Formats: sequence, C-alpha cells, structure tokens
Amino acid sequence: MTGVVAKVILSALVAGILSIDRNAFGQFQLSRPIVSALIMGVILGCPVEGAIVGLIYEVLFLGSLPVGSFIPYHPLFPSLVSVLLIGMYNGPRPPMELIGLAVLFGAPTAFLDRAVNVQWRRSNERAFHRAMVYLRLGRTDLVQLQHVLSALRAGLYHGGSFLLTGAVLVPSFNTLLKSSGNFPERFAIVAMLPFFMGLAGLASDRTARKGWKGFTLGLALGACVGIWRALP
Amino acid sequence: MNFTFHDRLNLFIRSLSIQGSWNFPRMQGLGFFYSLLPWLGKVSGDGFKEACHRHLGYFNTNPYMSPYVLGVVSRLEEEGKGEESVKARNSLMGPLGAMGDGYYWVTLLPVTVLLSVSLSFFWMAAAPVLFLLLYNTVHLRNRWTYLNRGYQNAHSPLEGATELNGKVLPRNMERMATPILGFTLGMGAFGTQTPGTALLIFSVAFVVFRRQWRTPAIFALLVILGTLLGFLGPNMRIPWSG
Repeated sequence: MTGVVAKVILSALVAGILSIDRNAFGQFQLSRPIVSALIMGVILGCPVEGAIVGLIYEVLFLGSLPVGSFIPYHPLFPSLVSVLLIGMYNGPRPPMELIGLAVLFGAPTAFLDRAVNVQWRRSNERAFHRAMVYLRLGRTDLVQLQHVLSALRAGLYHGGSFLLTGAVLVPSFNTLLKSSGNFPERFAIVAMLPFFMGLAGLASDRTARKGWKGFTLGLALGACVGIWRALP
Repeated sequence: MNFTFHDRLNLFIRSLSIQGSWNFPRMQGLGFFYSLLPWLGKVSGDGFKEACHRHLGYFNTNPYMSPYVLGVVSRLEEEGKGEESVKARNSLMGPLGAMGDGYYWVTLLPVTVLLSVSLSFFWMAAAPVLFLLLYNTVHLRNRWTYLNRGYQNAHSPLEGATELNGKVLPRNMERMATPILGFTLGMGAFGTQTPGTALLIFSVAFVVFRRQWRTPAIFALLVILGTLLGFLGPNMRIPWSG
C-alpha cells in the first residue's frame, strides 16, 4: 500500500516538473510523451512499456498543436497516467494487453489536463494585475516575483491535479484487474488503435492538398522493410 | 553602450520563460517584460519607470520567435526610441507568431517526431534521444540567432524577419513529412503482423478525420471502439514488444 502511494506521489511530482517545461520554461519538449512516458517508465521500473506508451500517444496527439492562442489537448496526463497504471502491476513484467487497457483508461485524462491548464492561465490574470500594481509602486523585484511564481504555479496545478487523478484511477484500475482476472490477449489491439488513429489524423491533414505520391511511396517502402524484418 | 555577451545571455535565458505567466487578457505580456527588465535597467537611466510602463502590456507571439522582438526592442530602447520600440513590438507579434507556428509546430515538431517513431522500430531507446537532440538543437540555435538578428535589424525589423527561418529547410522538411508518415504507417502496420486489420483501422479513422469530427467525439470513438475491439476483436501484436 505504501509503495502504491509513493508511486502516485512520485508520478505527481514528475507531472508537475514536466508541465513547467511544457507551459512555463523552455519548451524543450521533455513533456512530449515520447520522452515523458519513458522517464516515468524508468522511474516506475517499466521502461519498455513506458517507451511504447509514449510512442503511441505521441502519434495520437501530434495533430493537436498550440497554433495561435488555441490551447490544445496535450498528451502529458494521458501518457503519465497510463504508465503509472502499468507501473502498479505486481509481477516480473507486465503483459502487453495491460498497455491497451492502460491506454483506454489514460486517454480521457487529456480533457482534465486541458481544464487544469486553462485554470492555471486564469490564475495568471490575477498575477498580472498584481504585477501592474507593484510596477506603479516602483517595485520591479515584486513584478519579477509574480512571473516566477506563475511559472512555478504551473507545476503546482498540474502536479496537484495529477495526484488527485492518480488517487482515483489507480484503485479503480486495480479493482478492475482483480475482479476480472486476466484480460484477454486481444486487448493488445487497443494499444495500437490510437497509434493508427493518430497516423490517420496526420495523413488526413497532410495529404489534403498534396503529398499523396510521397505518402504512398513511403508506405510502400515501410511495408517492404516491415515484411523483410518479419521474415525468419 | 555595448550589447555584451552577458546581456544577450541574460535576455536569452529569461526569454525561455516568456510563457511562464501566460494569461488570457495580456498573454505573454508579463513574460516579455520579465525578459527585458535587466536591459531596461541598464539602458533607460532616468526614463526607467516610463520604459517599464511601455513594455508591461499585451504581447503574444510564438515563444520560439520572441527573442527576435526582444532584440529589436533592446536596440531601440538603447537608442532612446521608446515609442518606436512599442510600435515595432506590436507590428512584429502577428507575423512572427504565424511564421513560428508554421515552422515549429506544423513542420519541425511533426517531422522530428515521425523520424523518431520510424527509428523506434529499429532501435527503440534511441528514438527519444534523437527527438530531443534534433528539436532542441534547432530551436536553441535559432533562438540565439533571432536575438542577434533582431538587434542588428532593429531599424527595419519586418524586412529582417522575412528570412529568419530561411526557405530551403522548411520547404524540404514539409516535403519530407508525408513520405516519413507513409513509412511509419507501413512499418507499424506490418510490425503488428496483422497488416490488414491495421490498415482497416487506419482507413476508418482517416474517414472520420476527413469529416472533421471534433476532438471529444474522436476520443469517445477511441474508448468505445477500443472496448469493443478489446473483447471481441482479433489479436494484434505490438510492434515494439520484441
């Protein structure tokens, strides 16, 4: 029990730190699932599964981009939640169908992630007004402090809400696993569903005007290499 | 007065947090002010308070492109052209935002991700490393260059901004995107060892996306279809499972 709580708290800490990279400092893309899920996987002792979850979500959310002032659905929460759920598995190595089930549980948390992000941005409105007041008083040091605190608050908001999410989802997931016994192996297909949906979204966007030739050529090449690799 | 290496580094590091206090009415306004503040303290002299009031307001552009505006404003403030710096800042936000979104979000990010995902089929551990290396090398190098270019082009900032990302690299990256996308699909589909099912899922999803379903509807489809396929669908291998 203590181990489970420790894992959830640790995950919330990671979520908070990575959300600062995504929102407030640098945009080094450490918060993209291809990186964040792997980090979480390494921390929770399931690096391979973490990397797989990261690749799946990366492709699914690649079309959701912060163009203009649009706040997109970000894969940070879904990827971390999924890896956290996989990390709760008690055994030598989690079965692959568990990835599918964890993805199914984790994907909808993208909505929560976005809602938290909007709340954080709203809270920054108050920080801006305070900064204006401090500037009128000639206290530029306090103006700077408002900015730094806002950046840190991004971590607090996301980390805190991740903690609550984990506190709800982890027991539900564990109860489901215990009550249902082993899930059918077919659940592995669920893991690949978002991957192909993501590719379809990108293809629909990219080939809308041009690019069919390049796409088909790439597909044929990928198929050839795939078949060659599958040969015994 | 010299725009020393230390000044540039200070502006550069502070500009990394330009989105740190993003809010709906003023967007990156406080972040922009935070980045510029040490330089204003150095060059404004008695007019420091007015300079501060000039630059704590509305600002929004692509975060990666913001050092260019900071470079322009730094030079104009240094020359005592305060009002001109505000005009330059306001006129640059929109064009640089559009340019940066097109370059970083629509081109660089998808291309680097797709390249990394393609690589993951051969060497999974290298995929995140390649992604971080490619993406961060480009944007960090560019941010530094933008800052210097902005300072140099302060008197004709819009003309200087048009060639910031060049033409050849973005165009070639744009062209690369669809073949890599196709390659990733081919590798992914055949890696599952049930390519027919994989391509069927892809085709159904393609039709859904073409009809421009809203994101919540797509997620609902994902969960419903996922649950159905999990219990009733065929078995499928995960390509990276070894």
